[in-house]
Amino acid sequence: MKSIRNHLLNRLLIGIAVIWTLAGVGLYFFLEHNLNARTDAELQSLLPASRFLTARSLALRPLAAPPAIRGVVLESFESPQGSLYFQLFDSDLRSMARSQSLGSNNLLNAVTPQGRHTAMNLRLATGERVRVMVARAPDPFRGAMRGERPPGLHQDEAILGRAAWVAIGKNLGEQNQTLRLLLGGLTIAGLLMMGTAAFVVRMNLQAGLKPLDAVTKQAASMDAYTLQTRFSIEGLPSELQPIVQHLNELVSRLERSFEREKRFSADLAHELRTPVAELRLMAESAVKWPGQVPVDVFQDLLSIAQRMEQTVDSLLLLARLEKDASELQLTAVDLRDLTSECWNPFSTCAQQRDLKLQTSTHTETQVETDARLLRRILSNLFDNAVEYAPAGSVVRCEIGLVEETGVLWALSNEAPQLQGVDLDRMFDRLWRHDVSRSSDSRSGLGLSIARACAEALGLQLSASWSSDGWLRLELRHPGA
Amino acid sequence: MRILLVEDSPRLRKMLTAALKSSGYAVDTAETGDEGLWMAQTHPYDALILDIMLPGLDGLNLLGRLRQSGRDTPALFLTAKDAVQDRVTGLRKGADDYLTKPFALEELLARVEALCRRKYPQAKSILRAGDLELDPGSKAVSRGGVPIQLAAREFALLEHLLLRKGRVVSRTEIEEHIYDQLASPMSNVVDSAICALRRLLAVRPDAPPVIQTRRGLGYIIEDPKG
Repeated sequence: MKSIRNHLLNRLLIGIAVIWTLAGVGLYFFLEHNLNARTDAELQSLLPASRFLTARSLALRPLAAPPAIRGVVLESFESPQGSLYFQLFDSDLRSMARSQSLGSNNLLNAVTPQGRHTAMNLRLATGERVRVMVARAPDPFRGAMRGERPPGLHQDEAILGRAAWVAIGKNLGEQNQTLRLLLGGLTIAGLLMMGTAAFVVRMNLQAGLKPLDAVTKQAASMDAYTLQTRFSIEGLPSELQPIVQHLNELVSRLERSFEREKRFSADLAHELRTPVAELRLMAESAVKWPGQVPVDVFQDLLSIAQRMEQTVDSLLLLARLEKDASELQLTAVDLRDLTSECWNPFSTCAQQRDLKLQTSTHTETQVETDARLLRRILSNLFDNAVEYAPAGSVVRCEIGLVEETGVLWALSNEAPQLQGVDLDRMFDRLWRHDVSRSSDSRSGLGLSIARACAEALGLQLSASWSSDGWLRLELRHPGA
Repeated sequence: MRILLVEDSPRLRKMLTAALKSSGYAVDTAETGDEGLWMAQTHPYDALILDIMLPGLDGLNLLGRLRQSGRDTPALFLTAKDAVQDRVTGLRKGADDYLTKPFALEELLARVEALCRRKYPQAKSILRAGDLELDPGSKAVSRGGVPIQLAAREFALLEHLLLRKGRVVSRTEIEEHIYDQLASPMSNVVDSAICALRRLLAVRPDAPPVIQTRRGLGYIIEDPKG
C-alpha cells in the first residue's frame, strides 16, 4: 500500500541526497581546481630555476641557486623520495636531463608543442599522479644551440644548446590526500545528515499528518448508524480542509440516501404488512370460527389482492424505468392532444369535486417523444391534482415549450395540505402525504413513476411553489 | 371485558372487531387518533388496541395524552412499525405491550387477555366459586365437573362477575364492560343475560344459585358459606 508518509520521506531524502551530492561534487572540484592553480603557480615559480636544475643534474658548472629553489625545495628535486620533478628535452623530445626525484619515470607525455606553461596531470609509470608544467627552455640554452655563446658561459654548456623543452612537475599525493579527506568527510557528513534528516523529517511528518490520522480514525469508526456525525474542520491544516469539507458533503449525501432508503423500506413494509395482516386475520378467523365467515369476505380478499398487485406492478414498473430507459419509441406528439387525452379519464371526478381545468397554450406544442411515457407522466400529475386540489378550485395547465425557461408542460393547483418540506420528499417511492397510509386507492408511487418516466425521456420533473402559493409541477428540458 | 380498537384500515378494523367479539369481548372502534383519544377518555375500557400511524393524532401521542390525563388503561400497540426503536418508543410512551403486523390471531387474543388480567391483579388462571370453575385460557366453564357451554357474551359476563367475586357489580358496570356502545342503556339486556346465565349454570335441579341479586344495587357471586 502506498504511504504518503513514506513517499514524502523518500522524496525528501532523495532530494537531500541529490543536493548534498551536487554540493559535495562542486566543492570537490572547486577545491581541486584551486589546489591545481596553487600547484601551477608553484611550478610556474620554479620554471626560472630550470637552468640551475639542468646544471646540477648534468654536473655542469654550478650556478648560484635562485631564491625559490633553496633548502627544502632543492631537496625535493634531488632526493629519490622527493615530490618535485624536473626533466629537460631536446627538440626531438629526447630526454637530456632529469632530477633524481624522477628516478626512471618520464615526463615526456606532458610535452606537447602547444605552447608555453601548459599544465596537466600525468600518471607516472610507478603509479604516482603528478602535475606537470612544460615550458620552452630558457634563452641561454637556445642561444647556445644556435652557436652564439653568451659571455662567461662555460664550454660544457654548449651541449645545452640542443635543449628545447623544460618540464617541472609536482607529486599530487599530498593534494590527492587532501581531496580524499574532503571526499571522506563529505560522505560521512552526508550519511550523518541523511540519518538525522530521516529522523527529523519522519517526526515532523508524523506531527504534520496527525490531523489526517485523526480524520482517518473518525472515518473508520463511521457506519450506517453514525452518518449524522461530521468531521470537524476547525483546527485542520488548510490543505486538509477542502478534503474534509468534501468528505462532510459526501457523508451528508450518504445520510440523505440512507434516510430515503430507510423510509422506503419502512413505507414498503407498511404497504405490504397491513394487507398481509388482513389476509392472515381473515384466514385465521375463518379457521377459528368457521360458522361466522362474513358474506363479503371474498370481496375483501379481492380488494386486498388488487391492492397488493397494484403496489407490486408499480414497483416493478419503477424498477424497469430506473434500470433501462433505452427502449424509447419516439414519435411526433402534439402536447395539446395528449393533454386532452390524459385529462378525459379524470374529468368526471373533477366535475364531482367542482374542479375547473384552465389551459394556456404556447406556440410550440409539437415534440418528438415517447407518447406512452409522456402519457403516464401527465396522467399521474392530473390524478394527483384531481385528488388533492381543494374542491371548487382551479387546476391550471400550461402546454407547449417556453424557450427562455425550457418548460415543456406545467400543472399548478392549490395544495393547502402540503408543506414546504413535502416538496423534497414527494417524488420518493411510496411517499404519501397521509402518514397513516389509510387509503387503499393510492400507493404513493405515482409521482416516483412520473419522475422516472421524465428522466427516461431526458426531461426533468420538479415541484415548486408559484408566487401565488400554488403547487407547480413542471416538465422541462434540463439545463435550459 | 370492553376493548377500544383504534385502527385506520377499515378491513382490519372490521375483521379484528369480529374476532374480538367472537372471543367474548365488547369492542368499540375508532378510525382516527382524535376520535380514539376522546373515546378512551370518556369510557372505562379494560384494554386499548392502538395502531401507531393514524390520521390526525398518531397512536404514540394518543397514548401519551391519555397517560397525562391520568388514565392507566392497559394498552397494546398493533402496528406495522417493527424497528427496535419503534418498539422502545412505544413502550416508553406508556404501552403495556407491542405487536407488529402481520400477527397471529391467537397471539393477539392471548396478549389482550393478559392485558385485561393486569387490570385485575387478583385474578388467577382459573376462576372458582364453590363448584363453579372458569378457565379464561381455554374459555371452558364447568360446575361440579359438568361442562357448561356458554356463548361469548355469557362467558364474558360470568368472567366479569367472577373477577369481582365477593363484590356487588352494578348493571351500569356490566353494561360498560360487557356491552359495546351499540347497546342501549335503557334496555334490560343485562337482566336478560343474567337470567339466561343462571339457567345455564343450574346444571342440576338442586344446585344452589351462583349469582345473587342485591336489589337496587346489582349482582354478586360469593363462595358458598360453610
